[in-house]
Amino acid sequence: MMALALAAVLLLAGCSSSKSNSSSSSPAASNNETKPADTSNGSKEKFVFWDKGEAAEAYNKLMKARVEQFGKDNNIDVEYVVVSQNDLKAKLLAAIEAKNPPDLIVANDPVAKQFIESDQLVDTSDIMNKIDFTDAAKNIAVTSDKFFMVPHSLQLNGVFLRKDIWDQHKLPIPTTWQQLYEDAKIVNDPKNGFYATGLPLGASGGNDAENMVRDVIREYGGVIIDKDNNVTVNSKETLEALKFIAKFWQEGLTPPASVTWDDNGNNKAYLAGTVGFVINSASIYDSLKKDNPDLEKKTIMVSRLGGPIGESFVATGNVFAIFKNGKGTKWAKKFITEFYEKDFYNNLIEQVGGKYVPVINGTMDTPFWKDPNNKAAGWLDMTKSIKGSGNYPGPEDDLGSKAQTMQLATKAVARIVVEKMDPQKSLDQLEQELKQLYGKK
Amino acid sequence: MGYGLLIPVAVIVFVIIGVPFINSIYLSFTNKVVGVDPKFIGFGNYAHIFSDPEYWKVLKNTVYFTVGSVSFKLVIGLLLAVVVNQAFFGRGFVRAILLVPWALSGMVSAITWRWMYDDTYGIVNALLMRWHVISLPIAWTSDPSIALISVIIVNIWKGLPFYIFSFLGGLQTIDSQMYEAATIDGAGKIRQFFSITIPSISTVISITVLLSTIWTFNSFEIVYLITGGGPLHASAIISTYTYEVAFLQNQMGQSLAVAGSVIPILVLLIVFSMRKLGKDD
Amino acid sequence: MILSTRMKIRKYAVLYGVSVIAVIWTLFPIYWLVKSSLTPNRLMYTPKPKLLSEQWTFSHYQELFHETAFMGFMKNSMYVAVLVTVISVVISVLASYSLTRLRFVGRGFMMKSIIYTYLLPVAVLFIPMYVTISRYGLNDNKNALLFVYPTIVVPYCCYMLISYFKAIPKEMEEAALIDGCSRLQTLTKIIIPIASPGIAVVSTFAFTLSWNEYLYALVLTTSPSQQTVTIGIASFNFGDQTIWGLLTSSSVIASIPAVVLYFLAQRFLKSGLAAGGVK
Repeated sequence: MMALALAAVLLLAGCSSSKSNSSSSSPAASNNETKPADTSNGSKEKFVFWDKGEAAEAYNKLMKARVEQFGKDNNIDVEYVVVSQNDLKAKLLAAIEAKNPPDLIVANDPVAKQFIESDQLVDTSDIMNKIDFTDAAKNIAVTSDKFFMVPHSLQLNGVFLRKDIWDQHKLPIPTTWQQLYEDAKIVNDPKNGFYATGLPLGASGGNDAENMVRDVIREYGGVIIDKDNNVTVNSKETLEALKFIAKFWQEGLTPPASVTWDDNGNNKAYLAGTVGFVINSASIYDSLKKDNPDLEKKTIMVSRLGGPIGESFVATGNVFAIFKNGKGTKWAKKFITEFYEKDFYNNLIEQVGGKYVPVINGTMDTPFWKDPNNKAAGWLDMTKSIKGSGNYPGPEDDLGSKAQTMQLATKAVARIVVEKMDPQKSLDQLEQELKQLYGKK
Repeated sequence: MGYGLLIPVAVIVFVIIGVPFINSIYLSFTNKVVGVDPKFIGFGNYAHIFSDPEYWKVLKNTVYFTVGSVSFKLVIGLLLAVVVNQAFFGRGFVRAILLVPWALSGMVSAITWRWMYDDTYGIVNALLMRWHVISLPIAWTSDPSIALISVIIVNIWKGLPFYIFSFLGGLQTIDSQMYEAATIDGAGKIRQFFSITIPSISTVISITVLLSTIWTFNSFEIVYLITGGGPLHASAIISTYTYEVAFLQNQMGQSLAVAGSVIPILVLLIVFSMRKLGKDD
Repeated sequence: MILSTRMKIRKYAVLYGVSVIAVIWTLFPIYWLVKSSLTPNRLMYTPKPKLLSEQWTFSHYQELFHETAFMGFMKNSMYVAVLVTVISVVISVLASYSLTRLRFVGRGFMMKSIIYTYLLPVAVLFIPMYVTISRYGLNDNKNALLFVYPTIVVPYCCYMLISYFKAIPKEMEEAALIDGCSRLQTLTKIIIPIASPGIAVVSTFAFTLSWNEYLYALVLTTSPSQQTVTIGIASFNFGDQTIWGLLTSSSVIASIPAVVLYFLAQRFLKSGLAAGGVK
């Protein structure tokens, strides 16, 4: 009886699943054939777009509407999917391996750059020439003098500081790393659950930690990779920088958990009020305004800190990338070309609340960016002093971004902090790892 | 007829999982990078990983993680199974509660524990500090000497119900007359436990430990989502390390070699326990 | 057994003592998750969290139900988990019956092979698996999970059922065969009813595992119309920002079906999660 019932259910299940297979898999199946066209829904072409998920809901809503409109205008099927940045790489690699990638993605620039090495991306020089991108934006899309990506938006990090705490100790706002360190020793109060700074040092993905470590190295005059692609990391300056960063952990000026933070860690710690200083994109500001106005009032947003040789900002951001093996690459190109239409683009960027910074010239003159109450706009002058991208001054290439995503510099600091390794030894190891990576080519 | 009934399972074992499995093993002998055709390089990947101290560190962690988790689950599981096998008021309630972690997903468990473990705003440190057990927060997920223990604790929490309820099933098959006879012979509770209880459910214990060892060895979400294997691989285990090599370092072939390198360990384990189980076949 | 009052007291003190500790240990993380899901954003992150919240809110749940596609994920998970359970249990019953009751060449090999499917972690297997699945045009299709999940469920089900079936005396079956029952009838009329606790156990197991699986679901499905609930939960975690209220409330809701199922199956579960407890 029971088994018969089970068997009957199985049969039904078999039927229903095979039925829904044939209906819902037809578009997917067509992706595997070389010729799309003859699916049951007629011969419409298809455009598949994996966008970045953004905590500001308005972003994904606006994008979805835009893509759907694009589909209607061009009489094609569109598939707009939001993929979390944390999961993007696993999904992309699987899709690439099956020769079934999406046509278009939006991703953090170092993530997208890694697909150049395996020759997956479409050359985008034509789009880059057509549109008036800012120099800072071009920096994040260039790879070995070629363009395989198109800048989507810049994502700058600024400093979020607890003004109330600094005022309490009558300290001026720090402008250099050294000053921050001196202040930190004064305001630190771990017994009461308060750490002066929330510096990230997690090495399991994400950008925050690596960006910070590289910033400090540069601002101390260290050069990881020079202009001619030589590994020049092993210098007095880099050593000083590594030793300096490590002090924040060695002296307990930042929560110990930050050694395993993901990109979320500093965000959460700041919102919890347990740290007095973080470097982050304007996304924190959004959460503060919405959920914790008290803390927002105590917060000041300032431009970033400098080192002994001053400030050295590099850009990071989001890029479009088009996959060669996609079936709708021409639609991807068309979509990007039309993406920067002024009203749409400005609105999109503003909806994200200053977390994204525009990539085309002449878009920063809007009331949004000039509003004196918009704290996020305050430190955006930084865009003017951007020198390059993550691998600066080394040329931007796939090896450079690989070294970044492997977080080799972060690990060098972590070894000093976690394993109590001698700084010079850790630096030697970093040099060796970089040489091994670069030596392969 | 025997074959007919086996066809679906055979398809699963030899086709759905078998093909990707064999393919993975093959790719571990190649320089496979996703999106590029593989080139056979013999034992190159294996030679590379065996000469990498990080690999040995991770392997050692995996052994600690597995042995630590399994032995605690075994001991505590036995104890609790014996307890909830006794008749007392509220037993049904206790049993029902003890089962809950098993029904939760690894992801939900990991999210919750990571939240609790946070050193500055997590509840664990907050309570310990309020009760004056500690004066400074403990870095549950980032102290290299604690991180692995922290994930083991979560694994025990999540996996314990499987042990309790496996053993409970075994305990219920034991004839209570055996205990009565032993009591008359003057055997104490503890002696009864070792001379009656354990031998009676030894098959159940073996199967439970075998399955749980394999699952623990290959578990991923708890470690990956709580510590990410960090700091500096202090809590990394083979499955999170393979993921890291494949997705952060883009080395598919090497990553599969890491996974492949531990297969002999698991096979030995299975063969050994199967032989033991086979005795009463 | 006759126990003195003192011994009785001591016995109950131990039983209740251990039980209370075990219950607190088990429930505390769950309490903390539920509590967080009922805490307003303003109080979500606090330096020294208190055991009881000062303020409670259902706003995260309202947002979850009204402003996200979460219920769609729940439906997909229900579809996948129910079908995987049915498929896995049926084929495991058939295979286990054949492996315990029929003699044929390769039987031992087959029994051993089943457990070897657990050898490679999903963390490396999912790319080759994806390639295989997409070859059949099943990528971005929740039905692909109906083929994949049995690979993690069936080995356990088979081992469990084999031990149940073994415990059933052969004589009962032989009597039935003499009475003119076919093999199939002995299976449905004798074996399955006797082994029903075991079948209930493997069913709950199969359901829970398919309901909670994450990595395969992540790579094999992409559109929200195909994705399952674990992906829904993960989607509230953006690279540098977590919508903590939604993350916790969705975790709570997603846990309900499996927990309820376990409560319902309680009386079968006590007969064992591993190996049959048929007397």
